Amino acid sequence: MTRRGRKALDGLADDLRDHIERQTEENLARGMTPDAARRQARLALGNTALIEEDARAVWVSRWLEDLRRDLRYALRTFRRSPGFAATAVVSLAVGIAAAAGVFSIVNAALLNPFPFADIDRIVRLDLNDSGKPRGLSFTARQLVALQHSDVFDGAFAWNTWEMTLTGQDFPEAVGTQYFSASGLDVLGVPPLLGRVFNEADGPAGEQPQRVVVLTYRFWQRHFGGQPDAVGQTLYLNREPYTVIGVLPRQYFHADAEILVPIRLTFDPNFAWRVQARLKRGVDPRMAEQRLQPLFDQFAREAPQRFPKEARPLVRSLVETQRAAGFVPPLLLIFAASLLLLLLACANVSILLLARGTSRAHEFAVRAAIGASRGRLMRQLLVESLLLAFSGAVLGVAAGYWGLPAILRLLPPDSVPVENLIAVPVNVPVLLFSGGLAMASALISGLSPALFLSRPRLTATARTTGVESRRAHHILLAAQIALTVLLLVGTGAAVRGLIGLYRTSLGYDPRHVIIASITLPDRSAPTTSHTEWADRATFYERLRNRVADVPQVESVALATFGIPPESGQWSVVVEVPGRDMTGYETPIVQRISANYFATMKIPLIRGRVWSDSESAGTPHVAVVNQTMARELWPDESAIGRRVRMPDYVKSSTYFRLAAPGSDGWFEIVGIVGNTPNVGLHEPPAPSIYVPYTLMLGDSLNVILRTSHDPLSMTRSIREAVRTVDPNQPVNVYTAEGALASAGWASERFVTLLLLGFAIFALMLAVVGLYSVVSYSVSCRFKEFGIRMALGAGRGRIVNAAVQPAVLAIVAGLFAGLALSVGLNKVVAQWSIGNLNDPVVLVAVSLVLFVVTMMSAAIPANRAASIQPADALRTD
Amino acid sequence: MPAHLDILGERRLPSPSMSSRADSGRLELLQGTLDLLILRTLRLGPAHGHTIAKTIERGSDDVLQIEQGSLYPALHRLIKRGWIDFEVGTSENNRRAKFYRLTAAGRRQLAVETSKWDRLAGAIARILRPAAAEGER
Repeated sequence: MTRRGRKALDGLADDLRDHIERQTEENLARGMTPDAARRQARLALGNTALIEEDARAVWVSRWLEDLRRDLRYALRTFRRSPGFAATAVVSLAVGIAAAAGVFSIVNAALLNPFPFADIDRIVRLDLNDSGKPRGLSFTARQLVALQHSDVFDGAFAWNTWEMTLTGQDFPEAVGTQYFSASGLDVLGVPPLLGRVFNEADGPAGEQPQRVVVLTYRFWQRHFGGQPDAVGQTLYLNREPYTVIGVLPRQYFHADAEILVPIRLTFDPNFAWRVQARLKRGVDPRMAEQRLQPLFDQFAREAPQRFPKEARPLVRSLVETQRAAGFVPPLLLIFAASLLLLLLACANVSILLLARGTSRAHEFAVRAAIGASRGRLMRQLLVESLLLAFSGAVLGVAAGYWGLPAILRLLPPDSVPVENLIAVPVNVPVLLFSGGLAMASALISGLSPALFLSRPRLTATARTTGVESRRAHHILLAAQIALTVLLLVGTGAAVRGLIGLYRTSLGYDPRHVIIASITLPDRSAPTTSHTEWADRATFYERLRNRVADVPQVESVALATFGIPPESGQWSVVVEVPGRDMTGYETPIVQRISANYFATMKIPLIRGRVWSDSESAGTPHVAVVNQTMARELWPDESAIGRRVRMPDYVKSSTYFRLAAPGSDGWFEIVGIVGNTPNVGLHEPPAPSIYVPYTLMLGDSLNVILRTSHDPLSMTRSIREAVRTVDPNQPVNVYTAEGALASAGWASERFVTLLLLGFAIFALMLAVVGLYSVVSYSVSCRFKEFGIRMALGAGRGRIVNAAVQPAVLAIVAGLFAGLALSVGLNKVVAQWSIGNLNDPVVLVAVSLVLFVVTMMSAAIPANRAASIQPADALRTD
Repeated sequence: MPAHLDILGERRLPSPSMSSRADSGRLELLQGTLDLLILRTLRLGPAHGHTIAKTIERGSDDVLQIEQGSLYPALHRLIKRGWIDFEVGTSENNRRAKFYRLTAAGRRQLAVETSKWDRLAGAIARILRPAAAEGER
């Protein structure tokens, strides 16, 4: 209300009194008796209270005024029953915190993954190979052509690799993103500190400036977040680079810690992935059409790199992010969190009903003195609104403190949640929480409001008790059904996770360490090991030196690490006299002869080449069981000859081929399967060849140790340093890699579900307890009479719990039916199986025991009623 | 000659149980009439609430009877719109009461409302007595 309004209303009573006085005087003057004069004056003016209310309504919306009054009243009633209010608020708070927390992850990962200006116009360029997306790289000349096309505002080449950071204890491999100098401008990422590089820092065709931009993470880790990092020097690949800027925390593009300008050479043998910014008003489909002539030209110039029908594929970065693998589990969790909130609402409904029935007297009185049904309903809804918004505030606060901890459970770099850890609560999340509070107020408040506001001035207390108890039990059964669904889902996820841990790896990850080595970038001036023989010697020395470390039992070399990470590279295999279309291209792994012994992968048949053999680069290969079975189902694979055209290609820095390869290999052995393309996937066909045939610029040294592998990382680093003091090395354990790469997302989903399920069970306990104790207190007198008439304890307890037991059983069966029915829907989200009888039985047992216990405690109280007390109460 | 006409203000009916649909029709028709009369009365000079009511009644030769209860909410409405202002004073017999007076905006509004009313009254008159209206011209 305005000050003016308050002032105007202030004197209203005086005004009215003055009005009556004047009218009275006038009436007296007309000759009325004093009493009649005053009476007439009052009558003419009418009800002054009503006039004041009307005048007030001019200044204050009546609606708001009533709301304020209802809120005050609600607060007062909650203060009178703090236990009820606290239970209801905490229930809703946990529900809202869960839903809003998961929503903020969904928002950060799916709805708004790259929080930069017009980010939906950033697209990646690929090839549409008759419907299937295929990665495509562009030469510098093609990039320039793309930059000048009329669909893009800008285009940039990028690549990730590792740079060696020296000038500290151990050289360190740092994930590096190479960008066209204009790349960060095209992305539209503003620097947090300093500046980002621009065109002048690395013009196409020239050696770029030695400048580096740091990600927030690297800046924190390496410079402790000090602003004077800008201007300092980092030694990367043994060259001094000047730090020119730091990126904001939300920057998420690729798994990299530092960014440097790329060296764009016009050598047609070099090509990069390209991303671009669409011009305003150009959508990806339009861009594809208009790029077609350019792609046709590219295909004419370099036919070997394009399929016959080279069609461009333009996809927005946001869109591809939304198609990523973590999306289904995230949506599953989101659905589960909403289910949890629904349960919390049902629970609060039950509490409100139980409490409302004991307020029946109050409502009857209010109705009797003229409160309309709408008015009563509004009062009840305001109460649930107050509960829900208190819950929301508490829930958002909990999310603010708790979310970063939960996010650390996520697989590293799987979801762009850096900005979420920085700012756990943002505007969309607040809006969503507000909406949730509103919805939960309606859901939890509606049935009590409808039920309790029903006018029944004439009905006796007894019948209202029976009616409301029926409403309770229906709600209770619904709550239990949904709880069962959540429990079954959780049980299925737990079973799935256990199954995953038990997946036969086909090798023994215990006591296995991987030391991963990447040679310095080819552009580094001090590059060594560019000749096959030189590199082979270097790798051999590394292996020997690491083998000398005490407690190392065996050392093997492999190009592509351990399963399931190892399955990223496949190779075309030709079998004489056979059409290979329809066969999967096998996974290739280049290894030293003792790889299988070190990993403890069983040799099924035949033999593995020996170390002395592989020095002479024999063209022999070993295949896994899947490959042997698929290609030669009825005959032995041993002794077969296959051709791998990849192995006659000329050398590049990335892969130095041994001299004199004709691409023909003889299969000499069959080994056991490993989950080489992922823990959930059946093993793919796989072929192993001697690593000496093709020396890559990265290498994994795999060690089996006799002691705790974690304690050995330092001695392994020392060993590598004695071979080359500037060679960085990553050391990690096989078990650690499995946990974070293979199992982390399942673990995340399962842990969250488990938390939800435990809370849902708690809610069910609270709901049951309150319903049964309420119904016992309602039937206090009845039980007293029955006991006075000779009913035994057992009968009384029975009578007290019977309706609850019915609700439990009905809810349980409904929940089981719901789970089985929803199995198909949930299966699309790919975790667990809701039909699993073990899970169904276990959930039923747990739920039954827990709920029966929470019903039995208050029911037991019924049995201890003293009949005399019961009869004496009103 | 009819005894007198009631002027209805924007008045909430005391009983919520009564259907208000028919009443609201009447309200709409005469909405603002009381406001217009208050403004017109205050053009003569500042006045107390009671004086305003009496002035209207007498000015219409007691044809118009103000429902006094609706007067005060109407005054507050006009204050809120800034068409009238008030000051608290002490009246002849030592009672505190408000003097209401027209503001500049109220004066302008009065002109607008008056011309609106004239047009409305003229239009209604033409419809009700077409011949007489023509004849008058």
